[in-house]
Amino acid sequence: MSMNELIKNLRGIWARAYVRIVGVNREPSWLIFELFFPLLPICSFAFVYKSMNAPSDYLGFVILGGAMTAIWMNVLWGMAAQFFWERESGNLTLYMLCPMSTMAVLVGMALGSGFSTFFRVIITFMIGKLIFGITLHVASYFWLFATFILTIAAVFSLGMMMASFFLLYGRDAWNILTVFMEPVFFLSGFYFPVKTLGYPLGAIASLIPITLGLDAMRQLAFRLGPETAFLPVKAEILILLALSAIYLAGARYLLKKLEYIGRREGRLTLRWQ
Amino acid sequence: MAVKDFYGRLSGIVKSSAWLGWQLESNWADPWIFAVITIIRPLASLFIIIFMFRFALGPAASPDFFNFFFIGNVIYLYVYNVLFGISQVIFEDREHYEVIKYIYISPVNWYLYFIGRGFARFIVASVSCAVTIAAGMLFLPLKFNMTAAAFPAFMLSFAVGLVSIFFMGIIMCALTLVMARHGNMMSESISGIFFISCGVIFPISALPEWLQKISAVIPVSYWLEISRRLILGTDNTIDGVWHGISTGSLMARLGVSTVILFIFSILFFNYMSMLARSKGIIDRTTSY
Repeated sequence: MSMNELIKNLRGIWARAYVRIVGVNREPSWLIFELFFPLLPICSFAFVYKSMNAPSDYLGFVILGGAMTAIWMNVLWGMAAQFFWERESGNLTLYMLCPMSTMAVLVGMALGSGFSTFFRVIITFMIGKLIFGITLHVASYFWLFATFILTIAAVFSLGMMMASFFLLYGRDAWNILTVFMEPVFFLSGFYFPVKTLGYPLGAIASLIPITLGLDAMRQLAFRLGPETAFLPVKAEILILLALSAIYLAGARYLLKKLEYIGRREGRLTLRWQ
Repeated sequence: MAVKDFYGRLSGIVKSSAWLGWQLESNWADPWIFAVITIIRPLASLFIIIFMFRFALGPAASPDFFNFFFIGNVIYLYVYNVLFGISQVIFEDREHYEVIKYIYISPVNWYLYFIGRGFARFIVASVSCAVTIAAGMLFLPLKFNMTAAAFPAFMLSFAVGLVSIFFMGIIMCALTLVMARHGNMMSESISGIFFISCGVIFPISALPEWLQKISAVIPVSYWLEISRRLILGTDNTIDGVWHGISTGSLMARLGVSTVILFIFSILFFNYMSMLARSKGIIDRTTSY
């Protein structure tokens, strides 16, 4: 890639990310719904533990998991399904016409979403913490923050990979995406430690980066966290690093492959599938 | 004869729109893929709660908890699907397929059209419900003691509760008429509010007192408590909020609130559709 091409792609990344970062401020109703909506299941599941007189750390597990749902929802509907919306609104063809790689569009989307989701998760967690009076016992702020960032990176890499499928598919992929909501909330242990699932199922669930990210963050942020650990924090961080790299490479490969098929079969402009 | 024709025409609208809704829900995939997708989400929701119980209480978890949350979870499948489904119709017809203006100018009653579209989601919810019940019987220590005498009362409360959800769905739908695409988050949020405040998976008595007072006037709360009492064959469940209130009294409350919802839904829907028309936004696409 020449310097000129690199600059064009970097500009493309920034342009796509800019819309995501600035767009939130332009439509405050999004902000209300995106902060308020994740709070509802958080409160429900926290009340389940409360009704069982469970230790307050369990409520903390739920609040952290519930706050992290914002990341997963964003990956599903803001990343993976985005090409579906772009195609419906006619923007996808414009992206293809631009003198930059489609990968730059995806990276821009991921960076923009990652940035806005980062604050959303923190704010949702702080509100939940305040409502239920949760006390944190942070073992290391540095590693907690690093794990959080790494989880976002790995999950958005997976989102980029999923997005490429929408170059080809329409309503079918859209509906299949809905399957990745509750089943992922279950498998990744958003509302209970993944160790409860047992090691074989937990190992499969670890392919979804948020599983290990959540487990590591619970270990680092709560007193009872280490007792419910699935794997040691260091191992989880290493796996998250590996998953980020694998999913990023996978996204690049799939995007190229599926874009080619989409062009060949004329599906890139197909609407109302 | 004229009356018969009139009702025949109305039921024809509901049937046709229900069929259209069902086709839209299901025609994008092979039946087995559709079945898997319909089944997998409610099962996952069920397993989330089961594993939360397992994690917090271990094997010593009381069957009362399981019975309580299981019945709430099953009934809520209808609440979520119908409530969300009816309001989603606006986005599908207006923004995705861009056919709402054609439906608006066709000689159908709009109110009934949306009720019919909700029926498709009712069918989907019924499939999910059947699967959830089967899974519950397999994996949970459930103890249902419904007597034969309680069955008609259960069916009546189920029908009235369901109808009340359709009316609430129409109210959501009316609001959606004047909202942009992101308004679908509103119906998700309302379903979420019901999930918390109506004691779906935990007793209302676990909520703060001020919220308990609000919960105690929502029809879904009555529906859930009546269903639990009749299915479990008891006069009281573990939810202390309802102690001292008879099942008959709850039935009466559910009936009255449903009639109020019916009247309000007609007035509100007519007002909102007039508002949308006067603002010229009936067929607006927002690309949000």
